[in-house]
Amino acid sequence: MKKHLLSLFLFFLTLSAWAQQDANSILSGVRTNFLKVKDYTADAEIKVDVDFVKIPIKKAKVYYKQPDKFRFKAEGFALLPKRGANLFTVNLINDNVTAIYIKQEVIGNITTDVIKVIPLDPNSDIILSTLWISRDYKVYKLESTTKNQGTFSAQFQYTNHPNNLPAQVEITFDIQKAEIPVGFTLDMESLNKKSQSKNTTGKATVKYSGYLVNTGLSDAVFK
Amino acid sequence: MTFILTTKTELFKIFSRPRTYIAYAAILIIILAIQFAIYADGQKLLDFTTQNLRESFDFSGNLLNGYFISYLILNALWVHIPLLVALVVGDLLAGEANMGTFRFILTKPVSRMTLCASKFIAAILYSASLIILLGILSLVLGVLLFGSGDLIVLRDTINIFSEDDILWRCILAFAYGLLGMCVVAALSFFLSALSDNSIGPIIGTMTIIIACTIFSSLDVSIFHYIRPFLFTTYITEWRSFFDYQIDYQKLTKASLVLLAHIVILFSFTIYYFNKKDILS
Repeated sequence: MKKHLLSLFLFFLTLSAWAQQDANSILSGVRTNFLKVKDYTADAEIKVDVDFVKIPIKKAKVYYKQPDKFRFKAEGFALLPKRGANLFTVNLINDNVTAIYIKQEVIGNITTDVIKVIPLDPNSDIILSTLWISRDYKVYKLESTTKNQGTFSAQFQYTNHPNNLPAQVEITFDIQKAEIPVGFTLDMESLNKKSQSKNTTGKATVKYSGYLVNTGLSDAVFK
Repeated sequence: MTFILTTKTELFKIFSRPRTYIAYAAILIIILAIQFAIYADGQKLLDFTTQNLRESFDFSGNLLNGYFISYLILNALWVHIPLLVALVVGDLLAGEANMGTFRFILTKPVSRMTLCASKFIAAILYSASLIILLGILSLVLGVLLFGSGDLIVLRDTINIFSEDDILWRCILAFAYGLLGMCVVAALSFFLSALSDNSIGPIIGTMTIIIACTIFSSLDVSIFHYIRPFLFTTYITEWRSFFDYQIDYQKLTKASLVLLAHIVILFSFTIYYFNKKDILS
């Protein structure tokens, strides 16, 4: 009886270790894909949908350089969500994380592996993330819980870019309603208006096109 | 022809008085002071205001630009421009009565109606010059000092307008602002007809504006019934041109109410002035 129990325990331990290794190997696949992109430039079209922010669709140029340099320049003024718009800058695909395999899930018609990722860096703002990764190591979905900024999620759409760079990212995030001081705006009418709920959910859609990859982007672009 | 000549004479009289230039000097000084203050501290204030937004978004572009400064100046000055209008318009009829020049003017072949209308048109032109100066100075100086860019309007929502979507809004806002100032001019002109010294109409105009503004702003049920009839309820509607979705129906109604005020006040002025016994 003892022998059977021991065998069963060893079987589950092995299974768990295999699953663990599987999650790590999937993340490693994504990392290998990422490392092929040293830098890139792309045109972006940004649509922000937050109930207290009204802004037209904006065009911008985005720049990325490994490991985490990112900048965007817009025609006029533009807003880009800090988290999720660029998966490269979300600090999840590195060695300093614990990854746990959860299950398989189909998004659209693509089979993905669902992996929970816990950053080990105590300074990381992200507490826990869930990644939906396809068999060709593309991240299709990301959900993260942060220390200070609530949760955010991002859904990625791809065309046939050779470097697996996304064509569209749809980001959903928690945001606090801005309190606008009347002394600054001098808009006394707003005093009479009932304040709306302080926390709300925002959405932003970023469409990327015209990728230029590995052109040897200078550091000066990011200053 | 007589009407044009009389209007020219009235404009000449307005621009011969030193008090007329107080208004222009006040506008210039206030605009320069606000622009200097924003130049020194504006970025900090704007950063503070958009703090929540900055936690979730990266920003690109210059928000502290001439259009934004111009919008701030408009917000700051709409309370004070009526005083500058009343300062000159309140004197147009009462000043003549005070100096005893009516009898001399009315011996000429000019009807009381023509004289009154000429003075009112001169008052409107003076008010327009104030608004145009305000617009040009705030926009041109603002763009020269701070550059151009998209406009951020901080109302109950944060509205951001592209650079090519701003100028027409500014022009319409200034035009609407002028309509509001015409009501103030008509009120001041009416009070000027009632009085024989110019201090009364100036103080009277400001008192009425302050009282009506309180009735329009205070969220007390008793004022709800009178609020639709007060011009102060509509005078600040120029801000609606900086809404993302402009409510043209609301603006048309507001413009019509303001126009009605001008017509009614001017009609009362003509009626009273025609009947007035000129004794001095």
